[in-house]
Amino acid sequence: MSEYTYQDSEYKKRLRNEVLEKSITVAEQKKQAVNARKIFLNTTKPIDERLEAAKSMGNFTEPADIKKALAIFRDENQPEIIRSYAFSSVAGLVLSDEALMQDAIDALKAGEGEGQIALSALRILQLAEISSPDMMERHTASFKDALRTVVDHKNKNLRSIALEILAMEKDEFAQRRLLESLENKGEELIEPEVAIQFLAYDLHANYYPVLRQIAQNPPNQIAKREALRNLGTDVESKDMLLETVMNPEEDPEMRHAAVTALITQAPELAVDSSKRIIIEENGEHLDELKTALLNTLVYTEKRATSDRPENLFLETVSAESFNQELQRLKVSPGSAELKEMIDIYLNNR
Amino acid sequence: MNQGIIIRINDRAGTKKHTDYVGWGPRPAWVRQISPTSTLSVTLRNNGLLNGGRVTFFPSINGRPDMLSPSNQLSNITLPASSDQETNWVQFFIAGEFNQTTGRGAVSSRDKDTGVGVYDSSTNALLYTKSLMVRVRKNANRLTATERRDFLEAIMILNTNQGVTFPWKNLQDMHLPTTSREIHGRSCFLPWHRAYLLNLERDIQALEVSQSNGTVKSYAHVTIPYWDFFTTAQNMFTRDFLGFPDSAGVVQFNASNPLINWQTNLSGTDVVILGPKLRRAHRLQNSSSFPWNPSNTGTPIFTLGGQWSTFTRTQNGTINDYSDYRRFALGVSSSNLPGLETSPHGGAHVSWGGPIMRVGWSPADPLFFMLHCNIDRLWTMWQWLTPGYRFNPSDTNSYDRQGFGGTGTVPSSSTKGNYTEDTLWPWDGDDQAPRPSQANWGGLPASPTVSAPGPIPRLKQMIDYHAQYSQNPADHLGFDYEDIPLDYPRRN
Repeated sequence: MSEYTYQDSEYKKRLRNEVLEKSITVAEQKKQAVNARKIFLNTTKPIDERLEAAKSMGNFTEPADIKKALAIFRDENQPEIIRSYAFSSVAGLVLSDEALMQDAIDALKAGEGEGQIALSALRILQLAEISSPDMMERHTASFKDALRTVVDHKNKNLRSIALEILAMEKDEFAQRRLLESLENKGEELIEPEVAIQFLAYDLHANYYPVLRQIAQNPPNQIAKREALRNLGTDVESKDMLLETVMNPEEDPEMRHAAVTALITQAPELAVDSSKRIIIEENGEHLDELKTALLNTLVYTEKRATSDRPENLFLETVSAESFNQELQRLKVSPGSAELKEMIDIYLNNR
Repeated sequence: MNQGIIIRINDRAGTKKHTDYVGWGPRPAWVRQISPTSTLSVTLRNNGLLNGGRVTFFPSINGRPDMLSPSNQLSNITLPASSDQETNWVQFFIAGEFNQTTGRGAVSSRDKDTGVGVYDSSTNALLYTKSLMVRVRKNANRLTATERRDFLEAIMILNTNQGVTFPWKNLQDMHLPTTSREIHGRSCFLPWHRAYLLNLERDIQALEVSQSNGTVKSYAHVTIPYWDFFTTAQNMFTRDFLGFPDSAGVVQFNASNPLINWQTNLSGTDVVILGPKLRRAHRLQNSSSFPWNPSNTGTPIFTLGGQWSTFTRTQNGTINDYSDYRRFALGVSSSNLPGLETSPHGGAHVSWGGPIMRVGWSPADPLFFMLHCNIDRLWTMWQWLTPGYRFNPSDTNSYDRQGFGGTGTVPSSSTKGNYTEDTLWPWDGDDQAPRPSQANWGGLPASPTVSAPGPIPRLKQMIDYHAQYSQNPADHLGFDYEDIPLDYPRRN
């Protein structure tokens, strides 16, 4: 590079000027932030004024400010929301300070009041998982313990994040509580449709009875859809899934969810059922379902048949006649999306 | 039209497929007559489709581009009369045309919409046109419907079990809780993820799908789009692209969106579950301290501008707070000053519920790669915009850990994988401590357009990604961003 020089282009100059202009704004913001911090840290000021200041005070970087912010965070006489803001404003320190990380875990576990402080602590700990994996690793056990403690917290948001993290970790305590939540209506930790998703991070066979129950007697349609989708490996659900797929009275979204589940255990059956729906059932109200089924066939049909070459492919609809029927469907009245998907399907044969 | 002329780009031998792609860094090209009877003087000019991409030409000096002479045409090139195919090539270089005044590049919007026309210098008659593409990474929010569709199809194919291989699952398995310390929380965070993005992009570009009419659909023109999370991305989080979560946090797609078939394949999950099971909930919409505006569907709350804090850093702050790599990437946590890894990177991840919020699960969501594409773009923006540049791999301001890393039992800031001369796991196949215990996915996929970095990349090769420092086309990694050009030098 030494034999050359570079001259800033107009583009770069313009970007730098924009940066400069923004820097001026940032400088003003920082000046405002200094004032905001003074107000926020002044415990004699009215709460509303301090909360308003919190919105623009940003990070605390001066040692004296940090000390005061930590004192506020630890002061049980300070309002919960103020303590929550105080901790968020020193979040970066948690990434390198073992004691503060433990403070964050303790604050999460304590779950004081409405859970605001615990939520702030949890956010900081989530960032630490990304940026300080080595430190977080040393605190894994106490972090999980704190998460388990707050799964019963009245703050739903806090409960939900804690449950999801634990479910991802295949935590048996959280899995048991989620299952109980599904089984005991009225004592739900979290909505059933969300609980099913969390359990699906690590599906176990003992979940199937309750999932079947939800699929057949659902508290709501989303829960039914999620239950159906996660019964793909349950052999006992095969008939129910097929029944759902082939039931013309069923909600199209449920039918597609059932097809995708069926692919897992009976791919040939799922492919054949999909093809039958596409060519045998009529009505514009089915265009979206047909589009989705064709879309799924594009990515799964070859696999469904090639995975089991030793089996005679259950084929009540031959490939040739199916393609001919698609050509007919393409020139019939119907949605543009369906016709486009027919082209994509046929092109991929 | 073809009057016995041939042009080859990136591969003079013509043995590779899908070589006709350029970015902002000059790429080698060759022109010759096929069956010459006499010498021929030709001029090379743009001759692509209307609104297609355009290229800039560079003469060749000793096999390198003459960076001091970029031009919109190469005049009076003499094509020899020799019938020896090995010796009658004339080399030149081409790069995508970038207007340094407006800041806009003449990028392609579809494959092969750019053309290099070969004109007879004496008659100005068009003798031949070579089609190619100015291929760069673009803002996902501004993709055309076709660009969107091609990207979604490509990642869906990779997310489909292909018998013995399952490319997307391999990518996920490189980015697990058990590998996190190798790739996060230390300086290599940015170079490692640059190679990781390249792995996916090259997997995409190698895809070919046979069509019923006997043709083959290639995805060589597809790049990873970036999610600019500092602005609203109203065209991204829609049912026909990245999807939009329902009230339960399950991402919903249109019936024709390939992602309707997405498999999350979470780490350690043996069972593959089909269907739109992807979870991406706006996790914190109920938080009073960080209110989320539901109409602002493109911006996660932790990267919203306006506040200056760990959680809410602006693009301006990200790029301009620091001029040295260490603070830029990692910040100074002991002073409560965040670097890029924590904010906006970490903030963007934890703005959501679902796999995207956690290190070991996040690549289950295709949004992960678009998020990281923007993180990588912010790094390139910083490298390019910081006075004096930050592309020199030997400069501690460009990268703080020089030389070779040491041994140890677990990855740390002082162990291998974190230093410029180190090879990068897992492409180096090193599964011994301090490295993670699995590294059997093979080398970094090759590209037909560039040779760098090779199957076993060294960390330093990730830094000067389009040869701004070295000026050597052989160092180009084969990707570029639409808004970050290569600067052309002047003679001292």
